[in-house]
Amino acid sequence: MAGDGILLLSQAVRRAGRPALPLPSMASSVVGSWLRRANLASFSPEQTQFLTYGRGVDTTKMRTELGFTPKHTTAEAFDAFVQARCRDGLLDPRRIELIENAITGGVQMLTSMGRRREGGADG
Amino acid sequence: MADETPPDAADVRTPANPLDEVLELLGELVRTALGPDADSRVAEGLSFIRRRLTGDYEVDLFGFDEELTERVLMPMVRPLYKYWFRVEVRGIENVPAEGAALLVANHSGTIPIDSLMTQIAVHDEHPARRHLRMLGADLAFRLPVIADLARKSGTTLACTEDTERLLDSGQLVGVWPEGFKGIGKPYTERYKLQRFGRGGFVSAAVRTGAPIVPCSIVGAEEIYPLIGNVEPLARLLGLPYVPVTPTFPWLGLLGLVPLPSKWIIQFGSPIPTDELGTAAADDPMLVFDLTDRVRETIQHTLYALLTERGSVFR
Repeated sequence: MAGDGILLLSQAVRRAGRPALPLPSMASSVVGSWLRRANLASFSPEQTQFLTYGRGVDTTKMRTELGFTPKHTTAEAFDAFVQARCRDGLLDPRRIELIENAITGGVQMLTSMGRRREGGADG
Repeated sequence: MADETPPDAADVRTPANPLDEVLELLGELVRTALGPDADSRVAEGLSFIRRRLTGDYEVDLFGFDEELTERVLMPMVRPLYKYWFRVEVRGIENVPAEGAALLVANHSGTIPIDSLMTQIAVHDEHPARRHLRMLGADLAFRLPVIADLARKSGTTLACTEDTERLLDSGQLVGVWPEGFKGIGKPYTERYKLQRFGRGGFVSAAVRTGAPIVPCSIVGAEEIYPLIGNVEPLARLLGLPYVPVTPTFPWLGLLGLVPLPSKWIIQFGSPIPTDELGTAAADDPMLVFDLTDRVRETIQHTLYALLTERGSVFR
């Protein structure tokens, strides 16, 4: 069973609003054990391997033979999980949007000021 | 607009707040740097960055990230295409505007830059701006960074399942059947086509009824003339070869700059396969003949293009 759409691990991390640090696979088990010892993480090396090995599910038969259509897409289901379990990451989508709006607003203000100055020089 | 207004009226109207002055200047700078539609362009760029940071984008089931390819990866490669190799494209009308097709090309150049150039050629020169979905060797997917970039730019592993799935969904698929035998051949063997695998790509095209478009690439052979191979090191690293070129490794990183050869990419007339029927895909004689026909077409086109090109660099 699977919903529609593919979600990459990197994408899932971003949707959860967490920063990501790519590590070579050999170093990841060492760093992982440090993090576990420091009680900062609770995932096993097996889980890491499971997550970093990409997979897709062919849902053709689920639709044609079983006649089942999932209500949510992969992304929607994951977002619901994030909402319920791990909100308020450092790079939370809402926070990023606030920053985006602030910069857009700032630039708009700047360019309109530049325009006013030009307009003044014309008059 | 009163004629008597002194030219410094604006300054009189908004008397000297140094912060405002600086902000106004900044605004003008932004507008001169980004053009009159600065607002919308900044907003567009920021929204792109926000979507990337928050994972709000889509990849298809092969990991192809269309937005990243169009907005980041292709613009990075395009200067090489336009100004360094000055790629000339011929017969782009032979690439179907829609539906499945299998583009088969010769492979050369030590590093597979020819596939990147073909991808740009198809996207930029074709009116339908199609994306070429490339088939890559398993080595490409074992290298860090390269593997991710290859996936994101639309490459998948050259295997029957993926090829047929792509063709079945009406994609334009690119394959370089010579593989490492092609890109890793010595400079003295340039433009001599190597063996075309076992014809697996032809079976896939026949099974899905996709036309085969032969594609001949001139110019890639000269970018890194391969004059030697550090075999022990290659074996140690598990690579097919560690190249020695006139500039690499002698000049260090500078040796990685490709020579600016003049490129011509010619797309030949498509060879239809839909009349052969699905069963023909399992007929070894037919597959062999068709493979040979594609190979011969590319080889002859290469020779014709070479005599026409004359100089390597012009």
